[in-house]
Amino acid sequence: MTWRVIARRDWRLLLDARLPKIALVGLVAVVSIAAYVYPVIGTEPITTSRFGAFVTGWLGGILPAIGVLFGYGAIAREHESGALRLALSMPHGRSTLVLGRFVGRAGVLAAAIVVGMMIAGALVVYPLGTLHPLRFLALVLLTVAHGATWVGIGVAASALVTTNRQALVLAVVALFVLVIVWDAVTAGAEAGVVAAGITDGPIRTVVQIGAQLDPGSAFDTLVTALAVSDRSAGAWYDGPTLALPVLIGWLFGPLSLAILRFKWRDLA
Amino acid sequence: MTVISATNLSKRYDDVLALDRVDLNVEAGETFGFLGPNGAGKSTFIDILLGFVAPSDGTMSVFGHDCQDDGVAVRERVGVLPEGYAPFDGLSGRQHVEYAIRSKDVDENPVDVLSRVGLRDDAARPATDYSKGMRQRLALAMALVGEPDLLVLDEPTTGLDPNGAAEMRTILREETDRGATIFFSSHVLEQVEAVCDRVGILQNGRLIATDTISGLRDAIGGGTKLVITPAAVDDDALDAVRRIDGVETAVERDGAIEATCTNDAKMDALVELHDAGVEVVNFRTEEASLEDMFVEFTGGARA
Repeated sequence: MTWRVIARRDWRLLLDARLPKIALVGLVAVVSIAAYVYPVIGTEPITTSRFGAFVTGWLGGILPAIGVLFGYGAIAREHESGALRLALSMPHGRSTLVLGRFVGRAGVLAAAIVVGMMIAGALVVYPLGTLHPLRFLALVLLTVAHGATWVGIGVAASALVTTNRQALVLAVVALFVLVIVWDAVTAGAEAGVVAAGITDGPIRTVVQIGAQLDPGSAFDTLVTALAVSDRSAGAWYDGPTLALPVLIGWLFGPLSLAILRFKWRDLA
Repeated sequence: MTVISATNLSKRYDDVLALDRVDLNVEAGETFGFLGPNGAGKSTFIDILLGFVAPSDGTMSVFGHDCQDDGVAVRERVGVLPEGYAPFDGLSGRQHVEYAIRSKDVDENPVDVLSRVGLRDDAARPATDYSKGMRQRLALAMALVGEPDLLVLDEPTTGLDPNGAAEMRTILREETDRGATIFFSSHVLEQVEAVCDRVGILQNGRLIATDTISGLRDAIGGGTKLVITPAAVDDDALDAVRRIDGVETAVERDGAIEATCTNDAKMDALVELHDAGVEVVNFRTEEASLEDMFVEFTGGARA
């Protein structure tokens, strides 16, 4: 399993670098602070499930940024320096190389998320909160998946271009479009449809589905679904039925496309 | 047993034909030198061998594995010193070798490998701080991990001082002694001549000669170099020598006429100069060096 060798090397590289370490400490701090203030400013009942819905807003900005930061240098930096020639002179396939880089980097982020969530869980539960173990586990897994999605988008950008600067630009453009532009455009479309007097029907449905197709909305929807007990409320596209495949698609889609492209291109 | 087999191999980059219908076989246990001027296509050939680029036409296989479709199987048996590589950021020399050991799934002591290439005392330093020569040694160390059946070395002596180049030659001899095949690309003709059993000369993407060094010597008419020191060298004297049957090349160098020719033509050249009124002060004969043969084959291009 040579991807493990690659993942292990990237895990170590990331932990040795200063900026990723600062980002990881920042992530753990943000989650911990959110958990500290949630029992104070949140509404009853105070539970680990409802904490998820509280913290998504805090994570919405920080996880994509850290994920992209971790991912964008995975391939392009070594392509530009020439170290990629050394990496590929070993008996690794190109797909294995990209996959190993993704696993190593996403693994570091996942470990930080788990640590942060463990601290947060303790802060929420002590002294008056309630632990919902399975839903809390699901919250941790969803947060790891969301973080890994953005690492994957960063790694994909890195595998598609040849210089570190190009990878950074592509990853930041993806971040900007998916986090800011997507919401703004779909909100504008929604407002336009309402202003036109279209309150239901296929056009409204398409607009509302469109608003759920970015990774952040899918993550929010899934985490919110963990906190509510009445799952019959709302349209199907406002719930996990759409959000789960959307998040899985963003987790594996960009990375798979980038691997296909990277696998067959000339690296001279 | 054929180790490297290239058949009708071509590679085109836009309007540049980097390789043009190259056919080449390298047999097990031999040390093969790949020669050519800059831009001749040597690195393109090696890039295809390593799966870095795909050929536009033709095929290449190593140990029977297609280099494009089965590149991992190829590299499991190949140690590579790639040209133009850089070390990994943040890893020491020792960590580089450890990475190679884990990647190749073998059990070796990284210190032993680094000692072999003279990097033991620098093992803990970040490899990005290494000099060019040290980087070459490090890449060689990574290539040697796992006792590969084939070593592919692209310009391996770049950046090495004469002692370093001699040490590398010693290591290559040790590798051939244990049965490894070596594919050695270089523009340093002395290095190739010192270690290679057979050489291929590439020019403008075409493989224009493949033979042993003595075979190449025979191919240019016996491979004798006649060095004549006349009282004065002029174009008429050079032309007189060039007109003789059996003379392949005649050039002026440091006040002497250097002619590559058959054994039979040597005396004819001296007689011709005498008849042309050129006073011959001295003359001697030498075996044609690889450089002489290279110039002969490539029509004057420099490696």
